[in-house]
Amino acid sequence: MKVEGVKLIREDGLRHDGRRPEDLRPIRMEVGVLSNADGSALVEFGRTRVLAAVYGPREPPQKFMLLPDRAILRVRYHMAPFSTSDRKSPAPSRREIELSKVIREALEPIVLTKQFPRTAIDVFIEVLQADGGTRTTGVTAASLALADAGIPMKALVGGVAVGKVEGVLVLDIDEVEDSMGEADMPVAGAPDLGLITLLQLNGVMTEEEFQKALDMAWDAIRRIVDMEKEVLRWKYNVGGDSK
Amino acid sequence: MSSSSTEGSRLVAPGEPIGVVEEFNPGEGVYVDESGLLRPEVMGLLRVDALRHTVSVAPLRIRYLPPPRHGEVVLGIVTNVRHDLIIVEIHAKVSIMKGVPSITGEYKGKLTGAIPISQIADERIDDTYNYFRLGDLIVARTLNSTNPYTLSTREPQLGVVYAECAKCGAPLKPVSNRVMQCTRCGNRERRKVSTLAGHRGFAEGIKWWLLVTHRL
Repeated sequence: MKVEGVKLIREDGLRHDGRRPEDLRPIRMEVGVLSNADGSALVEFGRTRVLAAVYGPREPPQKFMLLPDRAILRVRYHMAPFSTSDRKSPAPSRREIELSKVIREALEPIVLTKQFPRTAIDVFIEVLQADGGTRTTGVTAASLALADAGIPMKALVGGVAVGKVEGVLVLDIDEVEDSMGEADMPVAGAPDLGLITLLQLNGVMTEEEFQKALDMAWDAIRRIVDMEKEVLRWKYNVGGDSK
Repeated sequence: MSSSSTEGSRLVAPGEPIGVVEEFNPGEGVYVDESGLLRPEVMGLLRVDALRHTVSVAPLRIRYLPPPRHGEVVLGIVTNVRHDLIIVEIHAKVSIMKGVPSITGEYKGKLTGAIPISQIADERIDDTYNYFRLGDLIVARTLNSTNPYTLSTREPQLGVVYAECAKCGAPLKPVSNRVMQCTRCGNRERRKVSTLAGHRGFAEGIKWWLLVTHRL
C-alpha cells in the first residue's frame, strides 16, 4: 500500500490523519464478547481491530509439552484473510509465527502459571482488521481476555507502538506511517509493576530519540491499562451478579 | 463468621497495590511482589479481615473450577481397565450433603485419574473386571492434588453409580454393594457399587448432564 505524495507531517505539525504526534487513535475495548471462550475481548485502536479468546487452564491432547511445575502458555497470533486490503493467505506466515512467540513472551511474565501445573492456557489473537500496531493491540486484547477468564495474573499489560516519520516521533502509528516512516517501535508492559515485557525496534533512532519514544510509549501504556481496568470494572459492575 | 469487611465493595484489578506484607497476610487471590507489596491476581472484590490481618480478593465470576485438591469427591468415566489399575477421565466435582449427592461444578478440560488395585475396595481383589468396566460412571475420592490423580473407591459411598448391561445395553440397577442387574434382560454383573447408585435420579441425572455437556 504505497501512497506517493502523502505528507505524513502536515505544515501545521499535525499527522496525515489530523492527530498530534503524541495522540493515540480512538480506543474501544469490550470484554466477554465470545460465549464459548473462558475469557474474551475485542480491542480497537482506530481502524485496527483485534479479537482475543482465552481457554484454560486445561489439559491439552499433546501431553508431552506440559511442564510439571507450571502451566504452559500457548499463543496464536493470526490475521484473518479479510484483515488486509489484499487477501491474506489464512495459513500462518513466518511473521505470524514469530509474533505469536513475541506476544507469548510478553504475557508469560505476568501470568501466574505456577498455580496450574501440567496444564495449558491457550490465547488466540485474531486480527480482524489491520491498520498498524496489531501486535500491541493483540497484547492489550489478550490481557483483557485473561482477566476476563479469571486467570491469576500479576498485573494487566498494555501495548502501543511509537514511530518516527519525517524525523518526528509519533505515538500509535498506523499502517501508512509504519510503511512510509523511518522507524517503528512496539512496546508492551505492565505499568503497575514497572515492567516492560515487549520491546522491538525496526528502523533507526538516535539514543535520545529512543529514550523519548520509550517515555511516550510508557505514558500511553499507563493510559491504556487504566482504560482496561475501567472496562473490566464497568463490565463487572453492570453485567456482573454483584451489587 | 470472622470480622471481615468488603471495604465498601471495592473492585480491584490485577496488579493494583492493595497493601504491604508488614500490615497484612496475603489471602486467596492475592500475591506478594518482590518489593513486599500485596497485589490482587484476579479481578474481584477486596476483603479485609482485620482479625486475621489478611486481605483477600474474591473473584466476581468463576468460569472454571480449580482442579481438585486432595480429598475431593469427583465424578469420572472409566476409560481403561487394566489388571492392576483403572484409568478414569475426571469430569465434575460431586458433593454429598446428608447422603444426597449432587454435581457442584465441572472441571475445565480433561483430567485423568487412576485407581490402583489396592484402592478399589477393602478386600482382596483377584480381577479388576469384577469391580469396574469400560464406560462405567463412577464417584471416587482424590488422593493427591496434581493432574494425573490417584483415586480411591474404598468407601461404601464411592464406586459405580451408573453402568450399562454388557449384553443388551440397558441401564443396570444395583442389587447389592457388589452386584448390579440389567433392567431389561436380567443379566447380572459384578461391580464395586456405590451406595449413591440407588439414589433416586442421581445416575440418570449424571447421564443426562454428561450428554448435554457433550462429555459422553
